[in-house]
Amino acid sequence: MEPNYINRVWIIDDDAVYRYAFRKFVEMKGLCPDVVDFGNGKDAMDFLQNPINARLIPDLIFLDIDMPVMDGWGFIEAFEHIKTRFEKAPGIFLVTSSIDYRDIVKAQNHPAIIDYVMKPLATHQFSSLFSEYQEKQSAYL
Amino acid sequence: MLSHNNDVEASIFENYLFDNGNSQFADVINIASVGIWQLKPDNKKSIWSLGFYKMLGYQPGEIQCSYNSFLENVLYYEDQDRFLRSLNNIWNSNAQAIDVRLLTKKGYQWFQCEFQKDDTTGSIVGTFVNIHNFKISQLQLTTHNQLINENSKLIKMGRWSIDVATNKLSLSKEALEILDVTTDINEIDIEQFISFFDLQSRQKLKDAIETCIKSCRPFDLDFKLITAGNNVIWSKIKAVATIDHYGKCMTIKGVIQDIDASKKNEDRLKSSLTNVNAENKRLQNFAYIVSHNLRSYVGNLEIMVNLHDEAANNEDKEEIFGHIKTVSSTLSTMIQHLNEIVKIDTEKSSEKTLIEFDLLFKNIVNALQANVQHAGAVVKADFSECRSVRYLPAYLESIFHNLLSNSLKYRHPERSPIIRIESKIENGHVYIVFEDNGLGIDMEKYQDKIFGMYQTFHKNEDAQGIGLYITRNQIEALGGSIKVESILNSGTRFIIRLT
Repeated sequence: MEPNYINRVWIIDDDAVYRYAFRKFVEMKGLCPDVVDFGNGKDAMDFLQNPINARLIPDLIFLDIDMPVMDGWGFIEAFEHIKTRFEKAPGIFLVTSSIDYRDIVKAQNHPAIIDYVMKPLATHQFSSLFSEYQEKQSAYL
Repeated sequence: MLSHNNDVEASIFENYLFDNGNSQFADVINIASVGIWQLKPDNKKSIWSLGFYKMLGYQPGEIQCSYNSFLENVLYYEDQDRFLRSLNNIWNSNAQAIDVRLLTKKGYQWFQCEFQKDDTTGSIVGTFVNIHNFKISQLQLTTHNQLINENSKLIKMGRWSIDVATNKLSLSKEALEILDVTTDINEIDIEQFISFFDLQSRQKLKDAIETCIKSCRPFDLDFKLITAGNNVIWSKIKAVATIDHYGKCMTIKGVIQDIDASKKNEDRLKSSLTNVNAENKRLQNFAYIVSHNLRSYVGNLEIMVNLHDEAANNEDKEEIFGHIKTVSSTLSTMIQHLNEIVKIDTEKSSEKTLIEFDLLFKNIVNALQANVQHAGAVVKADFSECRSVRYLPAYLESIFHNLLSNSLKYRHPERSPIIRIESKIENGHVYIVFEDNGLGIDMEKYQDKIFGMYQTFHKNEDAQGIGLYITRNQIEALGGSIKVESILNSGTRFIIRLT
């Protein structure tokens, strides 16, 4: 398996329409064989907490900030506590409609976050985000 | 030696002195700017000093020196009576003094006239001193004082001062009027003065006075004053220190002003400013919501249309088109929501009616009867403390409906819901307290978002995130407020100030 090949992506977003569109586009373009979606950070975290799922950790997460129950920042914080259980850390794109200056600065300074992307997102941007991740991975290797 | 000028019968006092061998006085009298005169009452013969002529602005001989001419031409006619009375009185007492107006070359001026009998010659000897400037200043002073008093009354201001050495405080008449003190006291203890102010102000005023005495710092403070007549009014207390040669505070000079009317206006202004700010905030929030939501819906529609274009087969196209329909219908629902919110602002000026809490709430419970039964909820209402309120019925129905349906929707899965609603009256405000034992909200996380639009905190299919937003808008549109207290997994309490 190529190290920079994307096997599994997650999309964590409370917007069901957006989740569907993302999944459909990735499938149609064959960008990645396995897309998993969650409606909020808590559902995703519950999934990761279960040791059976440890090997199912994604390569890439498209994470929304504003979500009920557990928001994007809550998820990132919760993941910090359990990340040692996994052999790799997923790359995170913050995909959000928040134009709050504090969110942007916080995202730019966060080591776990690859980039901050503003909603609404056009379909072609999905593909470019995948390439951006792959480029970063190659550069890193 | 000066000679008589008999043509104008000029009689000069100095000549008389010379004639009588008193030449050494003549020079002295010439220098002094005093007019000296002598009158022989028996034959009304009078003599004036050179100074007398000079004083009136004449040369000897220019005017007639005679008793009658003086009375008729020099002395102001209104002062004649007083002058003559005083002249006659000389036989009862030794000396007389009187202020009169004399006609000088420059017009009438004030002179002080003093005279006494001279028993050796049987004549009256007197002086005239020009006191015009002094008299004018005195007059101006009286007018100024009158003006100050009138002004003080007009701006409701009085003076007070503290003599640091004796620790006594004196008050002007106007200050006493402000304090509503009718007895005529001039001095009181500082403590007594401070006791005129309300409890919260006393320490502040005491500290201010002490600091002023210690470090000469002036102060300007607004305090609530309780007058002797037991009226509470706003007053302004202003003071400065006057210092001695060593720079120590000797006296505190202060004013006290009744600013009740302007303070009350200011308060009204403040409260309307708060209302305007709240309104502004709501509008801003609304604008944000509109842009945020429209953007995300429009964004989603765009993505879907893109997907539709890129779909390779009809099966995918049809599926995607189905989603486009869903998005467009949720978009129209959202626009309906926005419309409801806009309606709140247009409806808020509708006429309020007296609403019986009990009746209205029963209607709401009936409307939600099915949900109440399904949840097995116990609803306890107690409106005994405040039975009715003047409000918009449609708003109150909507508020009760939203709160009750929320409590049912977000009930705790492990217990039957108990919902309490109570009315209260406090400081003239009508409150509704609404509490349940439901899921509760994580206040630390969602404190700021509870009343926001499209904010949901629970995994609930029906959650739309619109109810509490509308509730808040309705309450605030009528000048009220809503607060929430909640503990996760134990329950939520809403405290609503309706009026």
